[in-house]
Amino acid sequence: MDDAGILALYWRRDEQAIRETEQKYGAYCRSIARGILSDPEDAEESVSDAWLRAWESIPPKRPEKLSAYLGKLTRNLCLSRLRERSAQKRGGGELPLALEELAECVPGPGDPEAELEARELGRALNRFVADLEKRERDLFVCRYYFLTPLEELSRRTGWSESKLKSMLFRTRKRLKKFLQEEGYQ
Amino acid sequence: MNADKLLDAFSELDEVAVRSAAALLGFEEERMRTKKPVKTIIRVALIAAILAVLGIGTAYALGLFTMDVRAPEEGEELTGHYTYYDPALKENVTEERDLTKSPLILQFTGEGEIHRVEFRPGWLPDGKESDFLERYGDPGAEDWFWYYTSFYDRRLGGAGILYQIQCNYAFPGCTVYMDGESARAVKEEDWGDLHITEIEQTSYFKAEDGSPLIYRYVLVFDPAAGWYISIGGTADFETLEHIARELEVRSMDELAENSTSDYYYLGVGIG
Repeated sequence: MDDAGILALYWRRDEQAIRETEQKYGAYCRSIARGILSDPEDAEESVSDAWLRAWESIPPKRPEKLSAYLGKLTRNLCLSRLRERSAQKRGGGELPLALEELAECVPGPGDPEAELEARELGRALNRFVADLEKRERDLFVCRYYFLTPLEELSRRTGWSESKLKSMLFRTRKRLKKFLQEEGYQ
Repeated sequence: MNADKLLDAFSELDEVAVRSAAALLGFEEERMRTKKPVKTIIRVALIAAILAVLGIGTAYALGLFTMDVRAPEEGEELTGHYTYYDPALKENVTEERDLTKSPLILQFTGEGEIHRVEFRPGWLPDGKESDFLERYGDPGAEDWFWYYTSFYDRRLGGAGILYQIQCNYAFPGCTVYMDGESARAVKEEDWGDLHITEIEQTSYFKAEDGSPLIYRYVLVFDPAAGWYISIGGTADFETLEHIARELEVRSMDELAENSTSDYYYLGVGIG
């Protein structure tokens, strides 16, 4: 079923919407959840939560691209779980490490009162990522979208962790420069 | 902005970038694999029986398509039609093509929308990345194609193409014809919900040693969606099946476009 058909089911409050969503996007969202959460049960629960959030938010929302909307819901739910866990134990885990690394890309303290729309920043990130070479892009997305540990990335790519760290460091520097040029001060 | 906001903004990344990274991590889409073939054969036959009882209305509701692979019958008239606008005559012109000498044809029935599909090879025979002859996909859709032609078959001195992968559609009422000295279906089976037909064709052309050039095809047909992907070439069936099993296929939002022709050609070649 195409996205327009699935959205129509949501708007009609027809529960077939959930079945169609699961059939079309279940594998994709599960891959996001499994990538971020090591526990398969947690991942499965996050995907189910994503379907519930989709049901609760559509309508009134009418996402332009359903795959992007569901992917975002899933990832945000997974990050919330990770943040809860990080708050409960001190240190450890990929989330604090990823945040530390991404802090290098933040151009400057800027206006602490300014609320930047995540969507605008997301669009900028898409422009940045589209310009990267495929391998560089895959690594960057694995590390900061899926929060994949360097050890896992090293196993997948066959590159040493030190090589991966250098590559990611260079990409973060480029991101910082890009964000500065985009006016994110 | 702080690192938390930046991390959150990654959720807005385009699906293409996310899927590409997911593939690197091994979280790949469901591949086409054999799953409970006996159950699926029964299911397809049962649905065909339901359709026969309930008629075309149900076919539309279920969106089911059929592919009939056969040799033209003795004395059967088979004519293909191609309509185009002639600017000199300022009118539409229809050309006809006689298809009766085709050794094998494919014909389709069904109703419902057919969406355009793209494929991403999960495995290909050894060869350099740059060895492909031609490949086409949507701009920006890295690794996804609707047409992919490999290198020439070196075993045959460059005659023949090792494999060519193409997206095709089961437009009802259309005929797909083949040419060559002969062509016949050698195997049919089901891989889960997909129907597989394997065809062996003896080409008009010869290999370097003068022996006939044999092309093999693995057609992967989705009767629910109305697309079929042809993997054809001079490679053996084991290789073509391996390519087929490891393909990822994704359905696009836009509908597949039928041209102003009611016949298409199934073969392997470029240009």
